[in-house]
Amino acid sequence: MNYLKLGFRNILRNRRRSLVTLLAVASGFASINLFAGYIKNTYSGLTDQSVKGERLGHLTVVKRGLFIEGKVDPEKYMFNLAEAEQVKKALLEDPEVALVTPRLNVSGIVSNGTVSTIFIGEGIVQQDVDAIRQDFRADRSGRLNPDNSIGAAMANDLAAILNVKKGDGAVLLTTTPSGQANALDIDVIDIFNTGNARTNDKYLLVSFDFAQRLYDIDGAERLVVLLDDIRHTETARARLTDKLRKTGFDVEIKTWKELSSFYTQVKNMFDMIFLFIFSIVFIVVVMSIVNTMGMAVMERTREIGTLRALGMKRWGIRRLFSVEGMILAVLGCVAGALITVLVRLAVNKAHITYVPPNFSDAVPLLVDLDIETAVITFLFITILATAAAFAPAVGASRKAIVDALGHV
Amino acid sequence: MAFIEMQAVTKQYRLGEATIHALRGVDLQIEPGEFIAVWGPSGSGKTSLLNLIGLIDRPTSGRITFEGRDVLSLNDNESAELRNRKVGFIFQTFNLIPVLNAFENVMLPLQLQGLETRQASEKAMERLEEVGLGQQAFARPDQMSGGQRQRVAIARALIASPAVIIADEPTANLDSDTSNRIISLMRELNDKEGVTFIFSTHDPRLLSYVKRSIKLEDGRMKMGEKHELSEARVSQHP
Repeated sequence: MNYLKLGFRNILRNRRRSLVTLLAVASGFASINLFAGYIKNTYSGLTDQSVKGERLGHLTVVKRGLFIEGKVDPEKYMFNLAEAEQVKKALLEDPEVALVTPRLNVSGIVSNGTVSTIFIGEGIVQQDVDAIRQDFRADRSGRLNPDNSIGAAMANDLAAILNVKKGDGAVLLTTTPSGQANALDIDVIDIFNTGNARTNDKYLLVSFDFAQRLYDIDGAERLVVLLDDIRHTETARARLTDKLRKTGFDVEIKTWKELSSFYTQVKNMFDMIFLFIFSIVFIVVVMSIVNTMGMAVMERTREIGTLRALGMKRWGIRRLFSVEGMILAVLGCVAGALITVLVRLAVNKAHITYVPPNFSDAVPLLVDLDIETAVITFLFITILATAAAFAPAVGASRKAIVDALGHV
Repeated sequence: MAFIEMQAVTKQYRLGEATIHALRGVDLQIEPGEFIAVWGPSGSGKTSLLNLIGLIDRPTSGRITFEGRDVLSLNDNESAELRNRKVGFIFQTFNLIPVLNAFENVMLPLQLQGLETRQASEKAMERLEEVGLGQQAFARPDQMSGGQRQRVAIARALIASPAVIIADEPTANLDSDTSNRIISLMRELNDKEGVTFIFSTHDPRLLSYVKRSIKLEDGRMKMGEKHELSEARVSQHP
């Protein structure tokens, strides 16, 4: 008994109704795919923004307690020069570690001589940051010149507040970890957009050496680690933590996701919206199939009676209608996949841009292909559509044959 | 023991608050190869009797044996298998599957048995040739006349070489000429293949074709005549 052939022919029997159901499945499947593709692109952009744009790398190694107790007594939780060298050496022995670079966060007051405002910033090794950023958003470079020891890159809103341009000078005033006041001149050699509205009016970058001089220390607050493969972040964290603790360093290692609260917040929000949209679309698709198959079962009750009289067993009737539901779902998903590809192509070619919340500049609206979500959604829709067709068929197969044959 | 035996069989239906007594204590024995007409006015219990013989319904009380097996002891799957292998049905409204062509409709009972498509195809084509529809094998039911559809239904009923064919008013939707041809065809197959035919009708003219008729009135059997049918009577309607 070829249930597939019979199923196909029955679907073609009521073309208009089948077409409407197929369109409901196709548009539902396409909308889930397109939204999943959009958030995949957003996650990918946010990942790049965190790892490369915010220069977080994949892992950040600190002395245990820096993020809580270190706020009160920062000096105690910094690596001294010898410790920093030893930890860096131990980290670089790991085959998956591509780069280890020291960092020092600085903060204080920046002044142009007439106007003063607060700043937060970071001491970086430019060559290492170049390796981390690779080709990420050159317009958000904030690049230092290794030959200029007092060069600083200033966020453009901060530069606007201070009314400074490239080549102008400014003064940084801070309190060192040991509690002394210190001030150093800087040359503004680059002005850049941080990409984040919350930091674009107070951020600046200085060289790591300059940050050490400003804070009057010879060590580092953090060591940022770049791995060969971002997918190994969690396993590398566990392995490196274990290794460093065994070597005698009481460290904690944070992943880029933990340090980028923005990524986590946005991801949680999008995941929730996705679940919401998925649920609505899914209910519409399943109800559409339930309605179609329910009507088909009703209209074909006499046919069910005939098949039962000819010797088809109850499970045969259930299988017959379930296969029809499955075919509707599969054909709908195939059409939906085609719609996804075409709409994605159109959206990506349209060069649409928008400014997301908390961003300081526009980003392109792009839709990726999220194959994994598409496959899961396809399976989910197909299985539930099959079950949705199965339910009315169960009732029909239980009907007394004589009643089914007498059905008008 | 008779091929099909009914003892004190009753059948009641609930219709709203009322109870309909469709059959009231029917005793019947059917032997292999019989050609029987069940006749009587509307509501006399013809269809109920045929449904019970065809294993698509169960009696309210009494006993029915089919080839010695008590039909009340069969579960749903066993009944379905027995129907598929031993019973053929011809319905008043033909009941062909509209999405299948004549050939596929005829093959259906064998496919339900799980027979290989090649073997099922050969048998289906033979049966269609036998009922004179070899040329219309690939026509859909909606492309065929009433008489042609009923011939397809007969071929479908015969395909699995059943022991008995149940035909509930097979000529009710046909004109008299086509009716005579259909009954003649059934008689011919009964003679040739020895398959038992039991059909219902309220057209007394068709009784001249049968070897035995059973009259039902208010759910009771009135008589069970044996007719001697001349070959000449059958050959008038080839």
